[in-house]
Amino acid sequence: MPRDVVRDLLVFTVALTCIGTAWSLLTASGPVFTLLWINFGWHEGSALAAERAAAFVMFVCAALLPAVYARQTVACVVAAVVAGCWLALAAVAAALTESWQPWLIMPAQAARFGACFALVLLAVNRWAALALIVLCSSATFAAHGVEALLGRGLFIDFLIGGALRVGWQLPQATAAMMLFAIGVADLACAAALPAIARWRHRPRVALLVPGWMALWGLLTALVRTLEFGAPGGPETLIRVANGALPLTLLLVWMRRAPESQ
Amino acid sequence: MSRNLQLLVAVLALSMAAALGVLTAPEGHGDQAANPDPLPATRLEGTTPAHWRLVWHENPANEAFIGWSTAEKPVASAVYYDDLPRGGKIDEYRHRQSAVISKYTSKEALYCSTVELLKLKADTTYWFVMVSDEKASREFHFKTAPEGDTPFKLLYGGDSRSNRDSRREMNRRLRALLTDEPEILALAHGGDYVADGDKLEQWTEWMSDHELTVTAQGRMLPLIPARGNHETGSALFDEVFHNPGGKGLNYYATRIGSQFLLVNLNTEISAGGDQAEFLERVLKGHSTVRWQLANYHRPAYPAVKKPGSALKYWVPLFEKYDLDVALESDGHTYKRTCAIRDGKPDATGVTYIGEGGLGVKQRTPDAERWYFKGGKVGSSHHVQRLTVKADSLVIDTIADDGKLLDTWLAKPRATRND
Repeated sequence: MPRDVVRDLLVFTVALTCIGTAWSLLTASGPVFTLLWINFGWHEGSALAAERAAAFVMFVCAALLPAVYARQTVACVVAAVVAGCWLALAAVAAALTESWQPWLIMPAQAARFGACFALVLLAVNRWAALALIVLCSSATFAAHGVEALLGRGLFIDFLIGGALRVGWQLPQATAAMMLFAIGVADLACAAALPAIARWRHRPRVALLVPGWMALWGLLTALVRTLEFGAPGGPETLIRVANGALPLTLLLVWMRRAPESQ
Repeated sequence: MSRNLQLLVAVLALSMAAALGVLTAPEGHGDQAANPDPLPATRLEGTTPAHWRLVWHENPANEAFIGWSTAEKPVASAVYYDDLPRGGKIDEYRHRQSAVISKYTSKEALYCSTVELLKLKADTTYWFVMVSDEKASREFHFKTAPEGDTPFKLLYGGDSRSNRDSRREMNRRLRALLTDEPEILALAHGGDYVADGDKLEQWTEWMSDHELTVTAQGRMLPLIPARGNHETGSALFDEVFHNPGGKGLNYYATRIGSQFLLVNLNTEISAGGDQAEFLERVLKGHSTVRWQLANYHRPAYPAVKKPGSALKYWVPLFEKYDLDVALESDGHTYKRTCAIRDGKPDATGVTYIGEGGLGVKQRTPDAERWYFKGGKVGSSHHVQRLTVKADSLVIDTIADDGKLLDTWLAKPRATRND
C-alpha cells in the first residue's frame, strides 16, 4: 500500500491522543468519573474503575494503531472507533458537569475525537474524511476563539507565563488585549477554513490559514507542558489534534495546489 | 402612580407602621421549625424576607453586608439594627439602612435586597431585623470582628454543592459549633457552593440551606466567600455575596483584629496577572501581621486532582512572605500537607489545609503523594475550626458528626516583626 500522508498523520495523532488520555486518566480522574460519581450516583470505586478500564483500552489503541494501520485491518478501524467514542463521551461528560460555558466544550474538543472518526472514514471515503477534518478543526478554533474573547483566565496566564519565560513582565491588561486579538484570529481562521476547502482554484496564499492553524494549535498544546511542567504532559498530548488536523489539510492542499493552477 | 411616589408612600407607611409598633417580626423565621428537613426550599411568600446571609469583605470590624430574597419585588427594603436586642420591635431600633433592591440574574422572578452596614463598632454584637415593605424577619444578631489582638475562632470549609442532605447536615454542624463556641466569628468558604453557579434554583436551595446555620437564638454566621470553579463567570455569585473584592474579580484581603490576615483569592480568573500583584502587595504590606492565611478554591497541593495555577503564581509568593497556611478546596477530601518550601518538605514552609467537605460527596484521597508524609488526609464531610491566639494557631478538622479528625498547631513565625 502506498504511503498516505493523511493516514500517517491521523494515526500518529490518534495514537498520541490516546496516550495523553490514558496518562491523564491514570494521574487524575476525568469528567466521565465526575458524571458517573456525582450525577449518576455511582460508587466512587466503580466510577474510577470505569475510567481506569478506559485508560487501559486507550493504551491498547495507542499501541495497536501504528502496528496495524498499514494493513487497513478491522482492528485499526475498531481501535479508532473505540478511541473516538471515549473521547466524544468525555466531551459530553465535561459539557454536562462543567458550569462555565458548557456549550463550548463539544466544539472545543471536536478535533480530538474528530481525528479518530476521520481515520475511520478514511478507509471508506477520503472526501468525507477530509470534510470531517475541516469541520472539526473549524469547530475547535471557533470554540477557543470564543473562550479567548470571553477573556478566559487560564489563557491570560498562558500569555503571562510565556512572556515571563523570555523575561518580559507582561501586564494583565496587555495580555487581555492580546488574547482578544487571538480570539479574533481564531474565529477568522475557523470561518476561513471551510471556505478554503471549497475553493476549486485555491491560491497558495490561502494555505497560510491551515499553516497558521497547525502552528498555533501545536503551540497552544505545548504551552500546557511549558506552564504546568510534567503534569501538563498529558494535556499537551490530548491537544495534539488541534494542530495536527490543520497540518493534515495543509499537506493535502499543498500537494493539490499545482493541479488547481 | 410614579415610581418615586410609590417609594415615598411605602417609606411613609413603613415609618408609620414602625412608629405604631405593628411591625414586630414574626417568631420562627430562621430557626429549624421554619425550615424543616423535608422542605425542598424555604417558602417564599410575597415580600417576606428569606434566604438571609451576612457577608464580610475587607473590614469586618466595621462593615457587614446583609442580603435576602423576596418572591415579589418590594417597593422598599431596609435593615433596622442596634447594638442592643429590641425583640424585633422595629420602632425601637436606633439605626436604619435602606437596601438596594434588584432582581437576581435569572429568568425566574426572585428579588434580592442588599444592605451595606458601615461604621459599625468593632467587637460588638448587633441585633437586626430585615424589612421588605410591611414584612419583617425575626430578630437576628451577629458580632463584628475585633480590632485589637483578641483571640477568636473562625470556621473554614468549601464545596457545599451537589448533595443537599449532606450540606444541610454540615450546616447543622456549623450551627452547633456556633452555638457551643460563641467565640466563632465567621465561616470562610472556599467556593463551589452549587453545582451550576448560573442556575438560580440551585442558589435558592443553597440559600435555604444556609439558613440552618442560624442558631436558635438568632445568631447569624457571617460568610467570607471565595469563588469556586462551579461559579466561574456566575453573576449570581456576586449578587448573593455582594461583589466581594469587586464584581467579577473577587480577590480581597480580610483583616480580623490586628494580627490576622486572610487573603481570599479567585482561582477562576488569571492567577498570574493583577491578582499575583495584589497578593504580593498585600503580603508585603502586612509583613508584621502575626498570622497570615490564604483562602482559594483550586489547590496548589491537591489530595486527588492536578494542581491549579496557584502552584506556579501564588506559592512562590506564599513562601517569599512566609504565609502560615493556605486553605484550599475542590478535592472533596480533607487534607493537611506537611510544611512545604521549594517543592519539598521544609519545617519553615507553608502548610496547605482543607479540600472541601461542606456537603459534596467525599472522595478517597491519594495518600501516597509526597506532601502528605507528616500530614494527614482522609475522606469525610468536615469543617476546619481555626483557633487564633497570640501564641498559637490551632486548626482542627471536625467531621459532620462532631468527631475530631485532625489537629494541627502552629507557633508564630520568627520572621514576623510585630
